[in-house]
Amino acid sequence: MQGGHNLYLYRTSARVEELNKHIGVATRVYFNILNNSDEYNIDVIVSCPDAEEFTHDQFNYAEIRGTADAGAWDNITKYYFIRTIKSIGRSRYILGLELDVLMTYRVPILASTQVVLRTENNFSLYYSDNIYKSKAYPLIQCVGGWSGFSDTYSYILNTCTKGGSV
Amino acid sequence: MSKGIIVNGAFYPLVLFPRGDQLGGKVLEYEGKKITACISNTDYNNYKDMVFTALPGVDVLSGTGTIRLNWDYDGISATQNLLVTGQPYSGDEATQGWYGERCEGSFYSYANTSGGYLYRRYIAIAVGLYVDNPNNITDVGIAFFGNSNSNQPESDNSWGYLMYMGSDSTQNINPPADIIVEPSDLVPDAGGEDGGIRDGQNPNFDIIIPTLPNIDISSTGNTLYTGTSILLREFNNWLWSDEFIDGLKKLYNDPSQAVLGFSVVDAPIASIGVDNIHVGNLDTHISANRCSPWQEINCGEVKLYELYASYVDYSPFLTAELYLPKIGLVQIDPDIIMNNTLKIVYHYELLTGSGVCFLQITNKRNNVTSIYKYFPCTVTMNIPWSLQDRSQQINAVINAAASTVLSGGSALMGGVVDIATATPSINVNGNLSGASNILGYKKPYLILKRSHVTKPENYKKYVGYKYNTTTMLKNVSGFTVCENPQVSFECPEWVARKIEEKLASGVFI
Repeated sequence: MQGGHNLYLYRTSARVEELNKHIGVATRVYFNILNNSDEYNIDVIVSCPDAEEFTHDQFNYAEIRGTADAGAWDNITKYYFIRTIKSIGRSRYILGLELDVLMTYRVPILASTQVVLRTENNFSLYYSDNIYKSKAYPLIQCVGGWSGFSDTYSYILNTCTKGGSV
Repeated sequence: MSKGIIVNGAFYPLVLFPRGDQLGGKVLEYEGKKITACISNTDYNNYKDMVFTALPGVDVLSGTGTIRLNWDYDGISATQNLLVTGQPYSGDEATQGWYGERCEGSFYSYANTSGGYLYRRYIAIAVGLYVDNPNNITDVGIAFFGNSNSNQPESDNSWGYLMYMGSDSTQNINPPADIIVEPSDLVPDAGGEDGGIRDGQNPNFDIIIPTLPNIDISSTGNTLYTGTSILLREFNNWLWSDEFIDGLKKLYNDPSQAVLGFSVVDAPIASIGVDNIHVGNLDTHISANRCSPWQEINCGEVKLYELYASYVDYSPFLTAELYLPKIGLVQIDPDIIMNNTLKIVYHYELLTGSGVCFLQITNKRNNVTSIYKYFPCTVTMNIPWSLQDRSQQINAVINAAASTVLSGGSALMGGVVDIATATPSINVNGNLSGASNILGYKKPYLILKRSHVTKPENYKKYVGYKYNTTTMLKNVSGFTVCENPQVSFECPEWVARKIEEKLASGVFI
């Protein structure tokens, strides 16, 4: 079967919680959505061109391209994790896809204003936190560098004189 | 084994600048500490290359490959070992509002274009390069932080690029431990309108150590002499001499009343003139330096550096005890002294030996100097002194003289007999006191008891550090956690809930 929509498959090692995933080079296949499939986490039947060799466990990520990166659901490019792959014979597979909400909505997410509690690269370590663990023994330091009194001794004689002279 | 630097508590893996091997032997003096691996005034091209590498686009910005580099005052400076010598300071930079004092180690670049000057802020920080842990410093050098935005506003602290110039870690440098990290809070919270942020100017009225009082006590008859122990020996010999006896008739009832005290202080005393020591009306003919009763010991100032450049440099993770000569160990609030400069000055007077110790703190972050503590103290040690009390003899002499006047020479013989039979005694005046003032350690020092803390490697990368700022997410990078995230853009409801969950638990941007 060669028909339906384009589905782009990838093999990526990007972290699941990453907004801007590096997803590598796409492999295009064709798909049709199974009947009664969830609209957001869909099951699709994919088929490959007969001339192409398709290894079903080669991919872990999928893309259904839309016309925009943000906006209405119908128009946006959607990204999916491939959760399940079932071979149904003759280069046809059923893929269980789960919407990657972070990648799909990365543009409005990055444009959104949030109270950022923690970050990797923008922070102040002067907020009290619990990032350290204390060892049982303390670190003792002695800071010097001041001058002060000396081993030069001055003897003082105080007398009472007529009129004084100080 | 990773190599890196800690700046503001954050670990940055290092890429040594390839020209670093040309920098050996140069010395940068930064806040009194000498740091190697700085480029000299002949290495300007190297430096420029590094800036271009560290700050992509600067050369494009300039159009001509020419940049102007200027220091902030109070920054890194050493006339003999300039970090950079660019083109001469033209004066135009001052009109940009950037030039001048801002913070330590910061400076700006100016790029000449046909439209005038553009600028790009960056910061150089003296840093230590360590291997595995901060105690294992293998190199020191300069780290550059830059911003990718030209004409960056002052409020924009989103420093990004990092470049390091060191000495290729081959010189086995052992810098002082306290330059492991040059503390710098590069990302202050800009705050917001929701409260909790100060409004207006921070009061910073400086309270500095006063000058010595200008009080003249000469009218009371007090005269202070200073010298070595030889002076006291000469004076004591005079007290036991016939000259003293001969002059007694000019003294009052008790001659010892005219000698108000001996003391010793473990510090040089400046002379204000030379004169013979006088006791009452008597000239001892012993020459001595006169001195003012008001004295000062300026112990100087020491800057206290953070170790971790984070909240654990403060209480309750740190306690501090300050030893002050003549006073002892005193508890000091570590939050007050950390990252600041401590100046210690003693003012005392020599008549009684009493004084006061001032602890003055210059707060770097708040730009305020104030006297933080006063400690009363006794500076001198009193020395007991003795003289031969021949008051009976004196009285006999006086009586004999009176008898001679009244009854003729026959009375003189009787007076002589009286003198011969009189028994002198020894008077000792005063007690040895304040010996602990002399016996103690003579210079201030500070004992810090810190928490010995650790954190797992890559903690920042996987957990993040606190930012606590409301901003667009595109302004942050790396692992990010949001507090009570809100999705207000168009998306299905379940998507919004899921995005909020993920932002709350952490995402990688």
